[in-house]
This record gives sequence, C-alpha cells and structure tokens, in this order.
Amino acid sequence: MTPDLPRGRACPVVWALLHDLGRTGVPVALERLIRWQGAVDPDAADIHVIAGRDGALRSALAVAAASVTTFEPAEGRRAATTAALALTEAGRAEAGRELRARWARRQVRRLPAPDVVLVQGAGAWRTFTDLEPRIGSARVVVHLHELAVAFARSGLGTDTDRIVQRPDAVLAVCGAVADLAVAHGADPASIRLVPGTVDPPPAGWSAPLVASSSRDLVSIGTAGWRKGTDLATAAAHELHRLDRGTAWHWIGEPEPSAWAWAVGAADPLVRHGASSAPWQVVPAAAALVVPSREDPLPLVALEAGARGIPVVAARTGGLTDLLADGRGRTVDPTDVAGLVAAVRSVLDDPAAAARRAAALRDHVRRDHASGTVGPRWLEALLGP
Amino acid sequence: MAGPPQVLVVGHDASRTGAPGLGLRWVRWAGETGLARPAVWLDRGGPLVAAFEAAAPTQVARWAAPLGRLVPVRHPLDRAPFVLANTVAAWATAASVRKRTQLVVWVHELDHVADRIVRPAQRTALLAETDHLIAEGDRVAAMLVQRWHVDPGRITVVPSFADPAGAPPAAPGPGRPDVVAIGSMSPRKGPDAFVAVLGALLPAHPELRAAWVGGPTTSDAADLVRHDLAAAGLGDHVRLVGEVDDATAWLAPGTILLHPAREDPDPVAVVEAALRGVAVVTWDTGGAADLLRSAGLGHLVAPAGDVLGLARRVDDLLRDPSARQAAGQALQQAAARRTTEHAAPLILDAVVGRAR
Repeated sequence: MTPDLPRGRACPVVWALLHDLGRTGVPVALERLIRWQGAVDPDAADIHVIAGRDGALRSALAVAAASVTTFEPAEGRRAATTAALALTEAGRAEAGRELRARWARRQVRRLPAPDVVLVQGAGAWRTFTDLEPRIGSARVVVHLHELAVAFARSGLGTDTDRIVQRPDAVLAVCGAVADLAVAHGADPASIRLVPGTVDPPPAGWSAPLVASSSRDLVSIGTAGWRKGTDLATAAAHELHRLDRGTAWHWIGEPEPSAWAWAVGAADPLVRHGASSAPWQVVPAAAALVVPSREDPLPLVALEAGARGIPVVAARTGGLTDLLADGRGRTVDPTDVAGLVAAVRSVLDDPAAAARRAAALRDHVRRDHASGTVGPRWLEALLGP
Repeated sequence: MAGPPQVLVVGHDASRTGAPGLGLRWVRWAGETGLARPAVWLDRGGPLVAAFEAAAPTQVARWAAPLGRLVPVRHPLDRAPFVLANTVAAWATAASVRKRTQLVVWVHELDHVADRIVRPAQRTALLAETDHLIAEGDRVAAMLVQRWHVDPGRITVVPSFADPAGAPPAAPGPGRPDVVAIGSMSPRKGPDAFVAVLGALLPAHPELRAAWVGGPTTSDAADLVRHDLAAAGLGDHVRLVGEVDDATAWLAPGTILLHPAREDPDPVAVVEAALRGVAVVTWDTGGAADLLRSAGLGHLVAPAGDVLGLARRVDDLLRDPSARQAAGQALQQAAARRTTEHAAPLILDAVVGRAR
C-alpha cells in the first residue's frame, strides 16, 4: 500500500516496524508513545510506521506518525505474498522469501533512509530481515513484548538469538521479558525496561474507587489460549454455581474457530466482540480479571488501574510486580479454583478491593504515565 | 445390473483418526460380506494406506488437494460407481468423479470444522450435486437440517460405530493411567481442558496418573499442552503417548475416559470405550454427551467449558469403583448396537438408495 506522504523534517528518521496495525497491545503501546512524542517534542524524530498488515489502528497512527506503510490489507493478502507462498509450497522457500523481501523493500522505496530502526515486538522481526539491505548503518532497537510461548511463536525461525544480539539496544516491557532476552544471549547492559503507558481516563469518567455493588466482571483481549479465555469460562461456571448474580463479560475478538465451542454449547461468558472503547462497554465493572497464561504487561491492567477498577490477574510477566504490595489480587496461572476464590474476595469485600484499586491508581499514575515512560523510551530509541 | 453394487469410497486421507477409520471399517465389511464391491481413492496417504489396500483396490492421489483435483480420479471399477465421499473434506474430489451412479456424502464434521473445509458458497454447489447425505449422529443431522437447510428426507443418520471388543486389556496396575483421553492433540479435542481438569484433581489425588493417547506430540498444540502441564505441576503425572496402532489398548477395565472436546459429532473413541464397559466423562459438546444420556448417565455430562464440574465428576468416579463399573456397564448396554455389523448395512442402503 502506498505510504501516506512523509512530512519531511530535518530530524532523525525512525522506521518503526510492526507485525500489524490491529488494536492490540503491541501496536497500541507504540501509538501512545508516538503520540506523546508528537505532543511534547515533535522535532526529536520523524517516525515512519511500517507494518506487515493493516488494521484498525491505522487512522490513529496516520495522525501521530510521519507516515504509515502497510504490506498487506487487514484481510486477505496481496498477489506477491500469494506468489511467495506458492513458491514455498513448491519447495522453493528461499525463492519465496526473497520474492517477499524484494516486494517489501519496493514498498518503502519512497521513505527517507532511516537513522534508527525500531522493531516493535518479535512479530516484526521478519519485516526487519526483509528490509535489512535498506537499513545500512542505522541504529537498531528491538522493543520486546513477548514471553516464552509468544516469543517462540513469533515466526523467528532460526533468529531467536539474533533478534536480541543484533540490535544496538533491547527494550523490554517487564523484567521477565528482559530475562528472556538475556537467556537468548542479549547483553544485559544493552537492555532497558520500557513498560507500557496509559492515557488518563477521559473527562467525565466516573472512577469507582468506592465500594461498588456491581457484580460485573470484565476481561479484555483477543480470546484464546494465551489470554486464558477457557480459564475464564471455567471460573465463570463455578461463579454461577456460587452466585447467580455475577456476570463475566469478555470484550475482544473471539477465538479462532479451531478453539471455538460447538454451536449451541452454553457459554457462561457474556461476549461483546472487539471494541475501540472497551471501558464503555461495561462502565461499572467490579473488577478487571486477567486470567492469562502468559502476558508480559497487558495495557488493559494499566487502564483499569488508571480508572480505579480493581484488578485480579494471573501471576505472569509484569503483572506480578504491578499488583504487588496490595495493589491487586494475583493467582497462579491455570489455577481455576484460585481464580474463583480471588474474584469472590473482590465481590465479597468491595471496600478492600477499592483500597487496592486506589493504590494501583496511584502507582499507575506515577510509573506508567506517558510523561514518565516516554523520555526513557525516546532516549533508548535515539541512543547516546 | 449383475453383481453387487460398485462403490467408490473417496477419502481425504488415511490418517489414524475417526473418519478414515470408520471408512476403512466399512470398506472391510463390504468386501468381506460381498454385499458391495468397493474401491478407494485417497486425496492423501497416511498410516492406514496399507490397511485400505488390503481391503480393496486403493489409489492415493499423486498431488495433494486442491492441485490433485485437476487429476481425474482413477478407479478399477468397470461400471459407473456409487460414489461415497467419506467426510466433507473429500466431498469436492468425490464430486469430480464424472461418470457415477450417484453421489453420497458421509458427514463426520460439525460446524466449525465443516465451515473451515468447505465455505458456504462451495457447499451450496456441492449440495446441488449430491443425492444423499449420511449424518454421523444426531448432532450432525441437526446441523444439516437447521444450518445447511437440507431436506430431512435426504439424510440418513448413522451414529459412529466400532468393532466389538475382544479380550479386554489388562486392568490398571502400577504405571497404568487412571484417566485417559484419546484423540488427536488439536485444540478441538481439548487437550488444554484435559490438563486443566487434571490440575483441579491433583490436590485430592496426588498419585493421579493420566495419559493423552494421540498425536502429534511435536506441534504447536502439543507445546501449549506441555506449557500447561509444567504450570500445573503435572509433568510427572501425565504421559503424552502420541499416535498408536491401537488406542483401545488403553481402555482397560476401571480406567476413566475423559473426553473434553470442544466440538465432536460422535467420537469413535467414546464408542470404543462404551463397548468395553469403560466409564466416560464429557461435556455437552457432541454425540458423547448424547450417548451418556441414552445410557442414563446424564450426571456424567458437564456444561461446555466447566472444568471444575468435569473434575468433580471424574473425582466421584475415582473415589467410587462401583460407580465407575456401573457407568461402564450402562454405557456398554447403550452402545451394544454401535458395531460395524449393525451400522455398515445402513451405510450401504444409504449409498445405493435403498434408505429412501
């Protein structure tokens, strides 16, 4: 897809590579930081977003970034990709890869040469390798948002070590991600912790922060194994047995069909589909529940914190630290009974839940505001 | 027309899974009884090819579908055959057989699988070419009527079946599992739910032994299962057996078959367990639940996705061997006619038009 015309300014040129522009954590985290940079220091860098696939976040990025280039539409694929896949199917994988790479380089031929290349998430590494001949001596920064399973499924092939050894700097959204990078050979001195950020709630948001009588629980994210939708389903069944007044809402894309339940099967979750404004779907939630098996630091947990909504989460990635010191309830991942008990404790003692939510709100405002994280990000991105 | 009817059975592959296994049973039965003269075309090969070849003249496509559909289906039959597409996945290939007496599709899939294989527009075109449909159980029949809008008069319901049980495998002893699941290690069969149920059981049954029988054990899905096993502390309690020649060897008396599939029309593994008097626990996502209810065992069916509910049902059976035995006997009685001997003639009647 032809890129939107660059504005063209004499400042460092950054190519920010993404796997896709879907409204999910990795692209949203980047959009927030680019928007922050545009607002506070627009001359610090011209950031050109290059994504493997288009998506719902394009319009927001088109406003915030200098340009947006995508290789594939949001649905389906272009002829060059089909041809590359056909070559791979025919046993000529290397020819297919080269075809795809040449085509990708052609799509960015009008962009100014980069001074910095940011690989936003391991899923963007393939785009990086496709574009590498055009990157020259640019500074390379990888911002990792993956834990072990997602990392292994990011299409890295044999590059699981190179992705953390090739860059000039590695950014990690939480300590567990940094540990993973070190395990793959990253220089610990090159790693910076750059967590997600959160915008303040919109004006008029009525923060609960008082004991709530709501029995509505909310989980947000693309349904599936990693986000633990099946564990939420299991816990919701048990909660219904114990307290029929509880409603557990799931906001996000449904599972892939291979993971879907038989047509007509009773689903205890109230499904809402994806939303660009998930916090408006169930505005008076008693708690955000994050039952993920693996989640480095989901932005929805920060957003719940900013809104004063109590959080119950699996102890995975950065959630453990986020909710430590009385800021939320955590349970072992995959422990359904433990998840039920934690959720019930929130519902049964809303005053205590509100106190934890207030502590989380203060923490998020202090440590995850764009004004706190943004300067660290920009410094790590542009280098010394 | 002299001699038995000639039937070309078209399969998508010869994997050791439910539908190819049922197709093979039917081909064997037809050949051995002489009531039909079968030949077999397979879009892909697999471990059951030799068994198909031993049962009937068999041809495996040189190229995988859809490329393979450009190559005419070859068969040794001397008349235009009755063509039986064994699964929706083989439907398009079967419809490409130009000279045929009629086309029948044996539907082993429910909605999510069927929709992935054949998109609605293609399905409409194939339905127009199809003379009759065989539904693997009532859930498939309901899908055909309610969601595919097929006239019920074009459908014959033949629940899945198995060969009668021979001598039972040895009873559980040291090293043998208390709980087994049988099926491919794919999300649809619910290996993640199997692990979650076992995780819920472990505190009360610290010596619990379990096995998942079916492959592949080297796949993305298997990696996720291993992740869950490690997270739940079940690594020493659960064996991922992989694909085996005869999964019924794992259905020893006293074992519990846990069937946590997300969508499964009428699983053969459950019928095999029933024929052997092995107790089954499942949730309400397919024909397994219907078989249990027909045996008066609705209390062993949990709502879809209710991991703790399923765990409680397994827990009850683990603690009460007599309840386990009674459940197995009730299932055995309910499944008594779910054998090749009883089901295969119904298939033949549907294929040659005697069912309508």
